[in-house]
Amino acid sequence: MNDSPFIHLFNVADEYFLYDVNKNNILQIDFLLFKYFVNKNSKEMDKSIYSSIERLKKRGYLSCNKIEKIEHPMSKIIQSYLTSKLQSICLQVTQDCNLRCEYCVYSGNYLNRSHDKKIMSLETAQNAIDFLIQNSSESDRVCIGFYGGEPLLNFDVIKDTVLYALEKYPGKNYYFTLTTNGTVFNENYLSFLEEHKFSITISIDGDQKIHDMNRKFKDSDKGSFYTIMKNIERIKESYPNLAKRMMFSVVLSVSSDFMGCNEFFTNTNILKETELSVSTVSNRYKDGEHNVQKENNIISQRYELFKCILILIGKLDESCCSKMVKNYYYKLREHYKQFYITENGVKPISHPSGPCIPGAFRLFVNVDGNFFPCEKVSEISSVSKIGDLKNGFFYQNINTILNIGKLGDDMCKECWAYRYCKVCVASVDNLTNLSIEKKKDCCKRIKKEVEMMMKEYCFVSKYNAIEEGN
Amino acid sequence: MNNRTTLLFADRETIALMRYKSKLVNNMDLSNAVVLTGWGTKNLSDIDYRENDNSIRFYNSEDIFNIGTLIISEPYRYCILESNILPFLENNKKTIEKIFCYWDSQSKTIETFCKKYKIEFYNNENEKVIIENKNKNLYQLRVPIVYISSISEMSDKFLCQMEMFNYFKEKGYNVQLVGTKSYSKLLGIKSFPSFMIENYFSNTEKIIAFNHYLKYIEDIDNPDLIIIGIPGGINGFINEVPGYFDDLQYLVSRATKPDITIICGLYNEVQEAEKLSSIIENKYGWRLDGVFINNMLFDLQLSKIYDKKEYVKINNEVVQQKIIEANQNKITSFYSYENLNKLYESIEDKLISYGNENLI
Ligand code: SF4
Ligand code: SF4
Repeated sequence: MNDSPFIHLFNVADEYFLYDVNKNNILQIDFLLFKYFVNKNSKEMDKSIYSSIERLKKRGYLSCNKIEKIEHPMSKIIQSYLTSKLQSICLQVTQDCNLRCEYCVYSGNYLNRSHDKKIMSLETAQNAIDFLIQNSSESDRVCIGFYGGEPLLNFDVIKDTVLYALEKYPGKNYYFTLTTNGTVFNENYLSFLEEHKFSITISIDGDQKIHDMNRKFKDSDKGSFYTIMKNIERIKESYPNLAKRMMFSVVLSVSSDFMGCNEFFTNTNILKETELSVSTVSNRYKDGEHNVQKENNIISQRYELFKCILILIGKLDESCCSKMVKNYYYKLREHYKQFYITENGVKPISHPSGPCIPGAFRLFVNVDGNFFPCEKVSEISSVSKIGDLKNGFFYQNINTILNIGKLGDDMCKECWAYRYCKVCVASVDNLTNLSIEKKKDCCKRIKKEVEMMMKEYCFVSKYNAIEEGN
Repeated sequence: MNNRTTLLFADRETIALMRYKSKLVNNMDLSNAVVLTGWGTKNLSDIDYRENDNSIRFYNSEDIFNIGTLIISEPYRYCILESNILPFLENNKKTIEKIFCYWDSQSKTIETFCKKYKIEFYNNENEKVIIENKNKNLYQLRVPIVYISSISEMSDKFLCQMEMFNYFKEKGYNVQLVGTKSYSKLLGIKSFPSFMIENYFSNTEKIIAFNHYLKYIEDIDNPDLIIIGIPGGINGFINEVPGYFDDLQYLVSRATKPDITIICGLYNEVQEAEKLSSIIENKYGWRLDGVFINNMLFDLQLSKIYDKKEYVKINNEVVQQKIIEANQNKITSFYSYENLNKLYESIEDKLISYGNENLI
């Protein structure tokens, strides 16, 4: 094992920093010390460096402790967890959809996935609810989500499933969600959704031009923008409580215009007050070439992100934060707190922070009653299948997914970013196995992101008080 | 008089009433324990992973009828007064003769219902211990004292007290238990005196009052042993599990020094035995005799997300394994339900070995 200090070095302009993995703290250091650590083999060590190092060591920094064994802390109790603490289930009530979006995972551009007419039967949905209840005795609040294809194409099953849960199992505090393309609402559906306090997410990508480029009806080449806007208007006018629990999901495709979207969501009256969840087109399981964002989009986005930092340091008012990056702003604020938590060293048996507890937070049940960790994972993947309604959970697969760090574990044992890692099955799944190549790609991206997050933290901290290391 | 008694509801908070129902006062025959469908409780063992009986009834079950006495406790699981309690009372009002209510925030509503239908109503108000506090001296107690405290909530401290109480009772000792549950009196034991929690006494007065309360038990009941369950828990043990304010531990520790101390904890508190012993010793001046670990785990991540304490139930075998590993440290001994009697045996041996005529 490498016996050098477990640290990561970086600079922000002409200021130099050291992230101590054991302590989970960032220290500002001087250039000489920085240079000394960068040139690990350098024999010369002048007096000032020597005394800086001694001082840091005395304060518990620069420990060489690394992870000795990769094992997720939940491994031993995963069975107990999954039999008493399920919190959420997401039912794929249909694979069918009335739209044909260019970038949809069922569009045919993704590995072995395509739209199908398959729908979930009421019996399967009810069995899924029974399964949720049987395995959630320690969760008072459970979420039941409806997903597709377009879930409203199977509204009867949605309705009967909700009533089944409420009538058969009154001892739970339910929270219902629906992810929809927003084109198939009618009064009957909307009053049911409002009555049962659904939270709904409607997909809308921007103004008519941007939206209709990708989101077209299946049977014509017509875009869906106009229909969705009409429906949003109807919800706002006649279903005010549902409107309060509505949010929009915005997908930035390669052809999107970031600033155009920003303007549209900020200035369109009926959309103004509603929150957005913005993502880019998924490259997971992508067949062929990956989607790459246009340069001017990246620049505009970076500009808005930079404004978030200015808000954090008090140079801009929060009202200047673009709706398109609001979530990033909240995330930044959260990250900012993380480095204050001083840790007592790296635990000898540890695991990168990436994976969720498969199945516990958002058990995805597909039309056939097969289980997956969440809806982002392909439902035709054999590694990601973590069970089914007939046989319950497959603990062997669950343990493999939970312990994703064991895949090429030597990389993780000495990885300075392990506390902030986001690698999970969804990013390394090859449908039949977990791919080390995909993991390596992911690691590069994650380390870059974590370093960026640290740099932002340091920049923001300059205006507060970051600890001096020398 | 109709002794048929029903418990509304059976959950982790009230499980002791079911487990020790033979000890209930007034010949209460606790035959039904009600649960809501959705809680995941089909049998009593679903609550605490111990033995089964056939007392669990679902809310609308036809087996629930002819209730003489009803015990209502604040539900630990999700439940709504308007849809799950009041209709139940309405449906059974003809046969209910008495209600014991341990749900402070809804006590008034239930009392009003009782008045309307001439049902006897009891709650903690009827059980307050009033202590005359003229003498300011602390008494030296002759009887051995056992303190049972905990690190955090949900650690089954009351079950640990009841098990110990029964152990010594069955061996023929005259043992008194001051229990932590508000319903302790239903089981024929004393409940932790409310004056320790109320605001109208100063800390000094509480310390003296508690000492006098123990002296009073010693004089009146002439016990061989007093077991005291202390509400709340010790603070500052591990970061992952928020402790509570430990005022009561401190006050009790000043009232008299225990001969034996047992700490109850959760599955994720089986660690750092050395640190636990030293906190107990330095902060309260107690010597740790054993740690009882139950099968609950505090879920830190989820608690952060929901801003509410969240727990997970762990299989008994996993708990056993962890205890075997923990006991290799030899600093203190960890116990689970399976071997709690060993702890009590060692306590009995210790008390006997004192060789003091005042002790057992
Ligand atoms: S994306 Fe990965 S970590 Fe997130 S829920 Fe899905 S499987 Fe879990
Ligand atoms: S970034 Fe890669 S190497 Fe680092 S902890 Fe995550 S998975 Fe392991």
